[in-house]
Amino acid sequence: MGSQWHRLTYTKPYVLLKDGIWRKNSVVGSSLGICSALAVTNRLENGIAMGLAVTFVVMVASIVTSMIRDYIPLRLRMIAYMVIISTFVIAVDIFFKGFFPDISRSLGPYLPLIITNCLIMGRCESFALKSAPGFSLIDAFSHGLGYTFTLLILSAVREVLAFGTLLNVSVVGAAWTNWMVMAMAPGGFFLLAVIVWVVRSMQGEIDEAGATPTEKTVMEAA
Amino acid sequence: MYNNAAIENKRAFDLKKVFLDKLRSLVFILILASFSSGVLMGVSAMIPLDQEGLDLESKLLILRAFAIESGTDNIEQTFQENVAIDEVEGLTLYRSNEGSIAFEFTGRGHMAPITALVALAPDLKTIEGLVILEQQETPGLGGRIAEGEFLDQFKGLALNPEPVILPAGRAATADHEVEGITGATLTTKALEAMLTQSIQEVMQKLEVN
Repeated sequence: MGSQWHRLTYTKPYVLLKDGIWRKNSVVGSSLGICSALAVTNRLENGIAMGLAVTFVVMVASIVTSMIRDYIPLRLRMIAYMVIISTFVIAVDIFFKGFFPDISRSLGPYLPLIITNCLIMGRCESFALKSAPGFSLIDAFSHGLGYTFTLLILSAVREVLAFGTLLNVSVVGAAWTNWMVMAMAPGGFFLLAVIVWVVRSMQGEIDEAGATPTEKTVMEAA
Repeated sequence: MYNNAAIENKRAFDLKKVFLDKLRSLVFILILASFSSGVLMGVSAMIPLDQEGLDLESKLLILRAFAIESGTDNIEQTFQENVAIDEVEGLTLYRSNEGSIAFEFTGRGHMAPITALVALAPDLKTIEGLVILEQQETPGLGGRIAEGEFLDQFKGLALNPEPVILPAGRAATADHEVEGITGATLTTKALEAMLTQSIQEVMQKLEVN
């Protein structure tokens, strides 16, 4: 059992999943997708909707990019990403308007703004352009999940501190005072910094020069 | 060690290559664009949200302002049976069977224009309901004006004296007061101002007629 698990940890899908969710988490590790992660996470339901929408878009965009990667003229690859990403973001936007009009109204312009989420373009550029569709899908899924988890933590803590509720259900006593600052941009920044700090410390392996595993790989490659 | 002929040949070859490269880019973009339009056409055909769908949503909101119950599948029918559309001096008025009237109004919110619809009771002395048709305020703060919890407070709100949206945390005591939203003072103030102004304007128009 133990050795089978050990072997599993060396397979590519496992490594991809672990990298996306934990080791190279886009929001925490490389500060991608920060804008939406800060803007909509003052309510848990917004965080869930945003996380799932981004996960879907990054998966579809990655798999499409990966499938046509041999045909994309190198000079036009950015335009290609933009067209593919915006296509699916608009599709998601229509979907939310059609089936979840309340969430769509509450997210306002932030749902269409997924188009500008660097996380998605980053996955297309750094992974999907060079990899087979199957691995691209796993990679996109794990990074989407990593983004969603980060948003869940952020929005759950912010909603409790700012409104005293969780998914609109009150979870604190009557003596509770709302921390209004948590609902606004500064609260998001503070909390994200704390999360990055905690996660980076837990990831450990910081060497004497203060570099994390991600940075070390980059330095070794250079 | 090229002679002239060889250089000419090479240039011609380069030109051909450049041309083919451009052509390839053009074809690629065209294919990508048609793929994109195809996907979007498919999606919007599958999800009922063309012009009719959007209109259906406003109809549902208008019914909600009049506090008329409707299932999602018979909105069109309920609307036909309960609401008449009337035009007064370029203003579209919705009249319910019970004699209530409703009208749209637009004004500057904190971030972007807000469009809302207010229904007045037949005696024109209280508000019957308020719904937000369009807003782009900050989600979780000003955006909460579109939520039922806040809007329900407007049911039965007295119009005289003018409706007031209180700062958050102060519970409403008089029947013309509404409790505000924490962190959304500017949005609620803007809503209060445009509500008061539009009601005054419409009352004047109604008195003239």
